[in-house]
Parts: sequence; C-alpha cells; structure tokens
Amino acid sequence: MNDTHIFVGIRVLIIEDEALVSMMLEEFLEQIGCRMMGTASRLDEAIIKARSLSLDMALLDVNLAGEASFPVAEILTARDIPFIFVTGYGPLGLPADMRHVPILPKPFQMAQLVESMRMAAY
Amino acid sequence: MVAVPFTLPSPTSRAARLLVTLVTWLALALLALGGLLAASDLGSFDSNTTLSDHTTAQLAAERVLPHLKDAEAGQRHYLLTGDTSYLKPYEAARRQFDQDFANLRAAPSPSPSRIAQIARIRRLADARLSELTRTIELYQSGERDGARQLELANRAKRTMDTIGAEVADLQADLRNQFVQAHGSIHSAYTLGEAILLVALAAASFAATVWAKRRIQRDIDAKLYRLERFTQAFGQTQGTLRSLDGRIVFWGIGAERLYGYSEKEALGKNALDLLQTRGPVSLEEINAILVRDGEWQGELTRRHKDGREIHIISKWSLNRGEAGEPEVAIEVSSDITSIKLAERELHQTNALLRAILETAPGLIYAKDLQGRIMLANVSTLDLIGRPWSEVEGRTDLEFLDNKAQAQLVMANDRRIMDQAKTEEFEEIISHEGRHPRVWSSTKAPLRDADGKVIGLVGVSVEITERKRIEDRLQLMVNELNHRVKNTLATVQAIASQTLRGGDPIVRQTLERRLMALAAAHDVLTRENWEGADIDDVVTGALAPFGDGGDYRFTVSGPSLRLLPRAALALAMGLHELTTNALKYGALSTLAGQVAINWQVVEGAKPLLRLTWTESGGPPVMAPSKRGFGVRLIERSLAQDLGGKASVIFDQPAGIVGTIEAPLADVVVSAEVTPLLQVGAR
Repeated sequence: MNDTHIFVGIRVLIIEDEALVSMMLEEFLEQIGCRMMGTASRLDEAIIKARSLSLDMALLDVNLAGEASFPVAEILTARDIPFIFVTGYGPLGLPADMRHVPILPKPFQMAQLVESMRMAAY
Repeated sequence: MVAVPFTLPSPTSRAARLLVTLVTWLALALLALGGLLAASDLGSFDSNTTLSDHTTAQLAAERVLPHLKDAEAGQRHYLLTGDTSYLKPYEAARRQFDQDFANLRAAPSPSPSRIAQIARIRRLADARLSELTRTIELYQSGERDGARQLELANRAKRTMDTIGAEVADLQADLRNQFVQAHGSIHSAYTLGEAILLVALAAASFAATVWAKRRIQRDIDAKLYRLERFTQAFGQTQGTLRSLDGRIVFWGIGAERLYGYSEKEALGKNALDLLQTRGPVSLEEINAILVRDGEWQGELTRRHKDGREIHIISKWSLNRGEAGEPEVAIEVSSDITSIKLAERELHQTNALLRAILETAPGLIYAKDLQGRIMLANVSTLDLIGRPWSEVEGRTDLEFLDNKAQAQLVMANDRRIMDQAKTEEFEEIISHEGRHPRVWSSTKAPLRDADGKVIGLVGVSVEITERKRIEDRLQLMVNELNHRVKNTLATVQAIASQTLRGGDPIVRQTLERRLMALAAAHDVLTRENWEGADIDDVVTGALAPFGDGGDYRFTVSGPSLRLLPRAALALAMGLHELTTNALKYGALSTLAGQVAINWQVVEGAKPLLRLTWTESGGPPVMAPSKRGFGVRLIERSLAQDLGGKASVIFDQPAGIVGTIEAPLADVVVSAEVTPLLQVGAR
C-alpha cells in the first residue's frame, strides 16, 4: 500500500449492482486518489458508459442483477482499457478467454483491491 | 438294428474232411482196379450182359432206401428253414427213383413174386413221396400248420420200415438168384466183381456222407449266425414282447439298462414291470404300432432301483407268414443324461429370460463386430425397432445419431480389445427427443476356451439423476456467489458504519469477515461436502502469512472436516492468530506458533488440536475475556460438540486446546496417521 501513488488521478468506472459494495469501492478508490468517472448497476447502463467514458481502468462485477457482464468486458478489451472482475465466483465462473483477467474476490480488503489493480495495470 | 459281422468257422473238422476224401479216392482206385480185373476175366463169363444187369439191380435195391431218406431229409430241412435249396436233394431223389426201379425190373429172369414185390416197394415209396410233395405244397401255400399236421399224422417211420424190410427181402432174393445162376464162374469173377461192388458201395457211401456233411454245415452256419445275431441284438438293449405284452426275449443290454435279470424279466408284462409312461397313451402307441408296423418316441421308465430313466425307443411289429402280428421288437437307448441336461438348460434359459425381461435397465450382447446378439425389451424400446430389425445389426445401423453410435462402438471395441470390464456414461439421442444419459457397464463375453467373442452390457438410465446433479451444482454455485456477495455487503455496511471511527476496530471486523470468507472458499471448492483440515488451517492463517510464514509450524494427520466444523475451526484459528498478533508470540519478531492436531484413540475417539505459542512476551490473563477468547471457548466448543480452552500460561505463552468427538467433526473415519503436513 506504500506505492498507491501510481493510481492517483486515474479515471475509474465502477460497475456493481450492489449499492453498498459500490459505495465501499468508491471510498477505497478515493483513498488512493482515483478519479471516479461514474458507476453503473445495470448491464445496458454499463455498456453505454463503458463505450462512451474516457477511462484508465474499470472494476466490473460479473453478475449484474442476474445478467453476466461479459459484453462489457468485451467492450473494455476492445478499447484496450484494463479492468478487474469483482466477483463472488471463482475463476471457473469465467469464460475461457477471460481467465487472464485479474479477479478481486468478494469480500475483499483494501490491500487486495490495490494488488488486483496493479496486476490489471501492468 | 446293429450289424454284426459274422465270421464263419469251418463247421467240419479237418479229420472228417480228410476221411471223406480218402474214401472217395479209395472208391475211385477200387473202381479202376475192379474194372481191370473184370475185363481180364470177361472170357470166362457165360453172359456178361446178364451179370451186369444183375449187379445193376442189386445196386439199385441198395439205393432205394437212401434216396428216399435223402428226399425226406431235404423236405424236413426245407420245412425247418424255408430255404428252397433243400428242395434240390428232394427233387434229385425223386428223379433217381425212376432209374432205380427201371434197374430193378431189368434184373434177369424175374420171378412173379419179385415183380410183385418191386411193385409193392414202388407203391410204398410213391406214397411216401407224395406225402412229402403234399407237405411242401402246403408249406409253400402258407398253410404251415396244415403241413405240420400232415407230417405228424402220417406214419412215415412205419412206411419207411416196411420199405426197408421189403428192400432187404428183395436184395436177398437177388443175391440167391445170382449165386445159383453164376455159381460155376463164381471163383472166376468174384475178385473183380467184389472189388467193383466194394468200390461202388464206398463211392455211394462217400457221396451220401458228403451230401449230409454239406447240409449239416449249412445248418451249423445258420444256427451259428442266428446265435451271434441273438447275442448282438441282446447287446443293443433290444427286447421282444409277445402281443399281450409279455417279455419273450431279454438280453444283457436290457438288463444293464433296467436292472432286471433275464430270469426276472421273462414272462412279465413289459410295460408294467418298467412302469412305462409315454407322451401319449400306450393304447395309442399300440394302435400306431399295429397300423404302421412301427412306432418311435421317447418314454419314461423306472429302473429296478426306482430311479427314473428316459429312453428313446423304437418298436416294430413282426408279422407271421400269413401277415398276422406275432411279436413286438423293441430297441431302446438311454437318454436320461441328455434329458436331464436338456431340463437344466431349459431352466437356465427360463431364468435368463426372466432376468432379461424384468430387469429395469438395458441388457444386451454384441459380437466382435458389434452386431446385436441379444437384447431385452427395454433395449428394443430404446432403439424403437422390433427384434427382427435389430438382430445382427450394429449401433451404426439402428441409432439415429451416427456420431453417438460411433462413440458407443468405440467403447465396445475397447472393452473387447482390452478384455476388461468398464463402467462409463453414454449419451443416446433420438430425433425429436431430449438426449438420454446412460450409465453402462460392459464386460467382455468369452467362449468356453476363454476367448473373447463379444461383450455383454447393462445400461441404466441416469438422465434424471444427471439433470438433478447439474441443477444442484448450479444452485450450489449460485448460493456460494450469494454468500460472498452478502459478506461483501456486510463488509460495506460495517465500513460505512464505522467510517471515521477507530481504524483498528474497522480492520478487526474486516479480518473476521475475511476469515469467514476464506473458510467458505475452502468449502465451496469441495462443494460443501467437507474440507481437508490442512486446507482449513492454512486458509485461516493466510491473511497473516505475509512475511511471517516461518512463524507457524503446522502438523497433523490428514482428516476431512464436516463443513460446520471447518467453519468453526477457521474462525477459532483466526481469533487465536489475531490475539497472538496483538498480545502474544506474534507481537514480537522472535515469537513462534505450533499448531498440531491428532486423533486420541479410545472408546470415543477425539480430535485434539493444540495451539502453542512460544518466544513471545510474558503473557498475563486479561481481566476481562475478549470476544476472541469467548468465541473460541463458547461458540467453537458448541459448534464442534466438544470443549475448548485458552490458557494464559505464564511465562511460556498462550496454549489453546480444542477437543471434539471425532465422529462429530470428521466426514469419514479414514485417518492417515502420522502424515506430516509441511511447516509454514
């Protein structure tokens, strides 16, 4: 946690359907100096924001109110924007071509968030 | 009927044959000598013609009786045997007769009394001959009884004796006349004449003996054959019955088959004695026998010792000359062992069929080429075709989905090639229907020599089970996801609630939630069926592991914990670790923690886990027990159904002990003792 300065000022999108978890993520990200570009809790909303916003990174819940968020993952991949899956499922819940994407397992601590963001960034 | 090769040994001895030959040669030699001497004496005869006629008459008188006896012998042999060759001596004798009497009548200067006597002899001989002729004719026309009665009624012996006496008288008369007429030249011709007479007598004797021997030889040969045949027939388990069912012939074969000796069987009713039972009533069999002359079939009888025997029997009716049924011939073979084997086979087949038709799954057999040799109703139902369209065909031919059929046949091929039984899942789809999943067990099928000739298989449908399993898996996954999300939400709530508060409190709470989540992770991986104690322990220590792995020493046997026990243990270890970090061994750089567990054997085996701190600062019991200690001592003990204690042991360090009945915390009793789990 000593080098969280690398995340200062980066633009982040949070896609998470659980409001409280979304708020906690926001709080964690603000602590390390990230710029919150927006949040989305539904798939259609997430797709629009993933396409339109200028982003440096995205945190992506796998399950959005019962819908898989993989279409969003594809947009982010196409736009070359690094992202993290935030999920209660293990890596086996992911399609084969997305198993390389870093996973932040729920529940998580600040240190785990930073670690997975670092893996996504490099 | 069994053909027996007959070998006919010479019925006459060599000596007898030699004698006949010698007599014949002697007769020939004497004839030659006599003829020579007679020729040299010719001049001294008054009338050689008279002499010759006289001699011929004498010879004829000698022959009458033997010729008649020959005819009689021929007739008797014919009546006895029915063999027409015996009529030859009879007919020859008849022909000879006319010549004999002509010769008698040609004797010189016959007296009226001699003429009368010759006529008498002729009448008697003719009468006897016509009797013979009559019996032969009766016999030939089939009236055997008539022939027999006639033969019995006539007084053959007396007739023959009378003829014999008359002939002897005639011979004496001829001799006297000869002596009177040729007395003067007696000495001159006696030698040649005598030798000639002796030679002729010898020749006649030899011829008679020869003929009799030939007949005797024929009879002997026939009797011999008959005897051999009777023996052979007896060997074949053949019997003879009179028409009223009484046994009239019982051979060694029958004795062996039924156990009764000839003495016990002869005269008994065959069907009663053997307790004969047939497929149809015996009356019917007898009716067939009379109608067709024979009957063949299987019968059940009882051996003398009471055991049941099965036979295959052929009965034939032997008819008399007049076509009337005379005797029933029966030839039987024992088929008891075949019958019993047949019955056993039938039972085995019935059992197999019952199993095939009642078993709920598919049962089938295929040959080396994968062609169906056997299939039960369930199998035919699945294929959806009748047996006639399935027999001898392969899966490729009758299954809709060719790719699946190829898979099935590849499985079959492997079973047969490796000659090994295997169990696996197979999927069969039918057009318009959901694929069905089968658990198949297939085993190589071997012949009597052990060679693989195909396979037998049993398949049980597990489609529904698979569907339930899949759904259950989906639900477990979903539940795990929910639990994690809920934990994350709880964490978020706590985080928001404690915002601006004591960061230590916030971190403690966060870590407790993480410990709970870590234990859940272990269980999720194992599908909530249980977790290795080693995984639970290392999972609980993981959040504190950064840079401090060397401070933990973990050891104990491999055990699978029940989910409840795994969660309780994970939380307990988390509290002990937290406590050690704050106040105990882990609060200093040199402190160590040893975690060890073992099974304490006894009537009720226990799992005992100890947490031993060392190298830490001096510890002192807190005035008030914190949440962690209370969690361990109360909640943990409760969840594990055992007891737990935390001792603040001065000055060494904290010692925590958890004990629980093994049966309440472990999935199964399998324990791998003394397995050292690597130190962390």
